[in-house]
Amino acid sequence: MRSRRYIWWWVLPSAILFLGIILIPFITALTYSFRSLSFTTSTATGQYIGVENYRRLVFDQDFYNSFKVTFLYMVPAIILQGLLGLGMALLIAGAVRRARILIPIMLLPTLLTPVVIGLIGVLTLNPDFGVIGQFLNRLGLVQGAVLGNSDTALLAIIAVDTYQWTPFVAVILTAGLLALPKEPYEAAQVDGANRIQTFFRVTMPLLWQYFVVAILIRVIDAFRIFDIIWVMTRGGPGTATEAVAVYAYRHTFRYWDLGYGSALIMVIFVFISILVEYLYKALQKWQTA
Amino acid sequence: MANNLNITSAARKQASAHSRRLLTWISYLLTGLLVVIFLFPWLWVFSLGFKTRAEIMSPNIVWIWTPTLNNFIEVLFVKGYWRLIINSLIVAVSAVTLCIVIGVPTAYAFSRFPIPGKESWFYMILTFRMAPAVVLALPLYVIFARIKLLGTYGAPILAHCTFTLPFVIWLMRSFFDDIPKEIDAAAMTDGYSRAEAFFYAVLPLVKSGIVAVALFSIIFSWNEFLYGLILTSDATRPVASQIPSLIRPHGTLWGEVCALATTASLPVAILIFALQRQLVRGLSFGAVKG
Repeated sequence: MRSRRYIWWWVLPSAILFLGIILIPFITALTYSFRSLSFTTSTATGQYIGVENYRRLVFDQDFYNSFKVTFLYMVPAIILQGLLGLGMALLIAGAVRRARILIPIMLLPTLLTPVVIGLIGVLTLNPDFGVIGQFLNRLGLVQGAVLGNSDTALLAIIAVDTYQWTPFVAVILTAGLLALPKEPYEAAQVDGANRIQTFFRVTMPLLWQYFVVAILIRVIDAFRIFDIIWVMTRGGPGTATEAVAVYAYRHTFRYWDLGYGSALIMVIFVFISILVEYLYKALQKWQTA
Repeated sequence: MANNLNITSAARKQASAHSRRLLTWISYLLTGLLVVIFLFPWLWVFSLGFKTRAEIMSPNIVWIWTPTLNNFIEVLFVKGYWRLIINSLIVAVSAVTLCIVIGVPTAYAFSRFPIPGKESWFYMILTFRMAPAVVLALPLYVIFARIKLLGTYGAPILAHCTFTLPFVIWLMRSFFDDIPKEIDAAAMTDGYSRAEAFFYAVLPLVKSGIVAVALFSIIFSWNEFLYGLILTSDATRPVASQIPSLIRPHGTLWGEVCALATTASLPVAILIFALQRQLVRGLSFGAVKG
C-alpha cells in the first residue's frame, strides 16, 4: 500500500508537464474543432457549430490534394529508400565492422538540421549556379527551375528526402546485419546453398524485423514532412507540393482559421495514431524477443 | 585420382579466397564512393559560405578560389545573428535539462513498477512524439498567448518538451530494462530505500545512456523549426527557425545564408560524432541495441 502511493512521486512531475503542454493543448484544439473561431473573421468568435468544420473538410478539394501529394511523395520515396538502403547496408556492413566511424559520417544527412537539408536542395538545384540544377539543364532534362515547375517540384522533394533518409535505413539495416547470428549461415553452407539462396532464405528473414521498424519510422516521418518542403517550395508551385502538414500550416498560421485548422489537426492526429499502432506493435514484439 | 581431386579443391579454395578478397576491396571502394556522394552536396553548400557573391553566382562553377570569411563576419557579427546561436543553445539546453531531470525517474518507474495501464501510456507517448508539430503548435500558441509566454524563451522551451519528454521516457526505459532488477533488490536488502537504490546503484550504470539521450535530445531541439518560428519573437528565435526567412524570391544573400547554416550545423555534427556508439539505438527508439 505504501509503495503504491510512492510510485506517484516518480511520475508526478512528468505527468504534470505532459498534461500542461500536451494533453490540455490537444483537448483545446479538439474543442476548437467544433467551433467557429478565426482571428481574421470578426464574426467567428468561438460559437459552437457542431461538426460544420469537419463537413467543410469533407468537401475541400485542397484537403484531398494534400493527402494525394503526401502519398505521391511518400510511396516512391520510401520504396526508393528501402531498396537503396538495403543495397547500401549490404555494401557497407563489411567496412562498418572495421571502421565504426562510418556510421556517424553516413548519418550526417539524416541528423543535421532539416532546414539546412532543404537549403542544400534549393542551392544545388538552382538552375543558374546550382551544381545539380545546371547539370540537369545542360542535359535538357529540365527547362529552367526544377522547383518552379509543378511537374518536377515533387520529384525534387523526393530526391532530397531520399538523400536525407537513405542513410538512416541503411544504418539500421547495417546494425541488423552485424547482429545476425552465425549458425544459420553455417547450416546453409553445409546444405550447399549458394549466395543468392542464402540471401533470400537466411539473411532476409533474419533482417526482416529491422526492415519493418525502419520502414514504419519512415512512413510516420514522411507523413509529418514539413521543414524541407517549407524551405524548398512552401507547398508550391500552386499546391503541387502541399503535403498534409503544409496544408494544415496554411489554414492555421497563415489564414488563422483556428476552428477549421483544428479539425484538420484532429484528422492528421487520427492518421498518425493508426500508423503508430503498427510501429508500437513492431517495437514491442522486438523488445520482448 | 584422390590426390588429383585434393589439388583442384585446394586451388579452388585459393581462387575463392582471392576473389573474396577482391570483392571485399571493391566493397570498400564503393563504400568510400558512397561517403563522397553523400558528403558532396554538404561540402559544396558549405563552400559557398567562403565565396564572394560573384564567385557564387558565376554560371561556371568556381572550383578553386581564395576562401573569405567575410560572409561569416557579416552575418554573425555585423548583423548580430550570433545571438540566434545562443538562443538555440538556451532553448535546447533548458528543455533537455528539464526533461532529463523529470523524465529519467519516470522512465525508471515505468521499467520497475506495475503502473496501471502502462502500455496504453506508452502508446500515447509514442503517438504524441510522432505527431507533426503543427498538431500542438496551434493550441500551444493560443495558450501561451493567453498566459503571456509568447515571445519569451519559456515558450519554445516548453514546446520542445512536447517531443523531448516522450523521447527521454521512451529511450531511458529501454536502458533501465537492460539493467537486471537484482541490482536494485541487492541494494535494497543492504538497507537502501528505493530512491537511494535508484541514485546510488542504478543511475551510475545508465550514465552513458543518459548522456546519449541528452545529446540526442539536444540535436532534435536544435533542429526543430516550426515551434521556434511561431512561438518566439525576433529576440528569442533559434537559428534553425530563422534560416528559411533569409531565403527570398529575389536578392538572397546566399553567401551569408550558407555561412549561417554552416555555423548552425557545426555543433550538431560534433554531437553526432560524440554519439557514435548510441546512434543506432537512439534512431530506432531503443529497439536496436547499440
